[in-house]
Amino acid sequence: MTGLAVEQVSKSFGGLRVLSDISFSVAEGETVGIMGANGAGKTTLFSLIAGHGRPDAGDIRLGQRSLLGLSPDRICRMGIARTFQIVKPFGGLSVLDNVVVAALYGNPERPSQRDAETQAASALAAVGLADRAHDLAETLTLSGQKRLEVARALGTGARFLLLDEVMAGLTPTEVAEMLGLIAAIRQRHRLTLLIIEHVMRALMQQSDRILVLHHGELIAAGDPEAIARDPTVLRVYYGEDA
Amino acid sequence: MTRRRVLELPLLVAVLGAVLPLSGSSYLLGIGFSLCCWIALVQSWTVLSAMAGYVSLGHVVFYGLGAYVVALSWGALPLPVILILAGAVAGVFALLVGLPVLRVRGPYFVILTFGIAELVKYVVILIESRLGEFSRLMFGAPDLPWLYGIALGLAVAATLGAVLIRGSRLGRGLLALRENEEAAETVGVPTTRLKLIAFVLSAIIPGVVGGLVALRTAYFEPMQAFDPTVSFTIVTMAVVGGSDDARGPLLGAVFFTLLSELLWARLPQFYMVVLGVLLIFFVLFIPRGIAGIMRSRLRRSPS
Repeated sequence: MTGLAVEQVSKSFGGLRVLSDISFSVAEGETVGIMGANGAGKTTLFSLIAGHGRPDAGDIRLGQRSLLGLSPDRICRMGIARTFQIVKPFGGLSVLDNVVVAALYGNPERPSQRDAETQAASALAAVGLADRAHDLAETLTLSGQKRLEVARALGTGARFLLLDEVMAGLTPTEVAEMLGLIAAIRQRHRLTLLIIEHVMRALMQQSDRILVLHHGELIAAGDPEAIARDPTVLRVYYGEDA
Repeated sequence: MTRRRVLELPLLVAVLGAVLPLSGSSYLLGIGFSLCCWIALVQSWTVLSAMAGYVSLGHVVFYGLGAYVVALSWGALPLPVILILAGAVAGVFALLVGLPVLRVRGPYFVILTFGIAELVKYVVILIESRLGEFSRLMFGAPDLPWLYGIALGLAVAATLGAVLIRGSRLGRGLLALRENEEAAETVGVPTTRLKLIAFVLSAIIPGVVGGLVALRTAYFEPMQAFDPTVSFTIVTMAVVGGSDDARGPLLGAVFFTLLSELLWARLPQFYMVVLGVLLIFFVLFIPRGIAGIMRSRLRRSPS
């Protein structure tokens, strides 16, 4: 697998233009953060990459291969897994079974059920949910379900993860834990990450590069320090006087 | 799941079923026949409706098609071929209607399956009346002990199938998509393909059962072969018995077959009323069914 390239992607829902002419790329091993106010188009961008919906214009490629028109399950097996901002656990299944499904189906090598269970258990251990493995997923707290989202994405064996606000709604302590956990799995599995986050400190700390979306347009891109000083970003975020 | 656990239920059905003919009573054998048919129907139904969560209220369509296949080919082909054909036609029909039908979820799917069963019923009635046939008699159908043996085989096969599928890769994928289809897709589950496989698997045995019941009555008439009561009974048995594992359908089928045996004799018009009342009662108060009550009792009692 090589990098992800998003090329001149546009998307409208009815008359509303959600993304206009977005282009960027993510190299293998890189962590790229995406920031932007609510409605800036961040989650839509993730959905398009993951195959939920198709851009009106432009192309999305993984290496040389275009992802357009591929189903979400196919894209997952090609090595891209996403988490959901609004968590979607398999509530009636055990925490372990949630991840076993990901390991069984997300991995193109089609592991046996026994191997899938081993992989799932290690993904759960990586996010600190090993002791909850046999509880129903619906009994987890929000923080637990956010971790389960990460474990499931990791369990697919994908090495390119799209993390959609995995820290939103968590307490400061939980945010700190999640940060440590993501840094650890990123290093251990040599992950490439594309991260949407509202917790600024978290985003600045993790990202090699940051993209700023505003009303569907990419208004800035650069390393965290440059973004923190970027006049356009400051104006958009803090108003004219900043 | 250990091998012993997998074989437990199918073996239980097989052993109890094999003992029944020793009674020598053809009345009991008749009840056993319909019990086996219901077990086979409900277990098949759970593959789609309990595991994948797509509740079918039109499963009689497969049963009716199987009966029609048998009525049309009776006398022209040997019995095993006819029964295999009945299952195959039901399976192919599921494959053809599956792709469009499985695009809708929840109550829409329920209504759609009901509508398709009704549609097929009236198409068959139309065809039959054009052919000048109002009902078909089948002469020389096998005796009850033979039919019973086949029905028992189907009940065992359907129970074994339900147990095996639930623990398999396919079953795990179906359970995931039942819980959340979008999330399942996102972790690599090919949801469309899995739903279609489940739909076809849940149709084949009901097709054979329909053919078998037609042979038992030696009679085919569309209003009866495609009677929606069959679909309602399947759903009610699954709800009352519980459908979280393969025990529920067994309990539901036994409970209802015995109940209807008592009611038909005394209060024939009362059957549908009882069906409705029990369905409402269980949905409201015991949503996990009889098997669910047993499970929580076992868990609570110190072992």
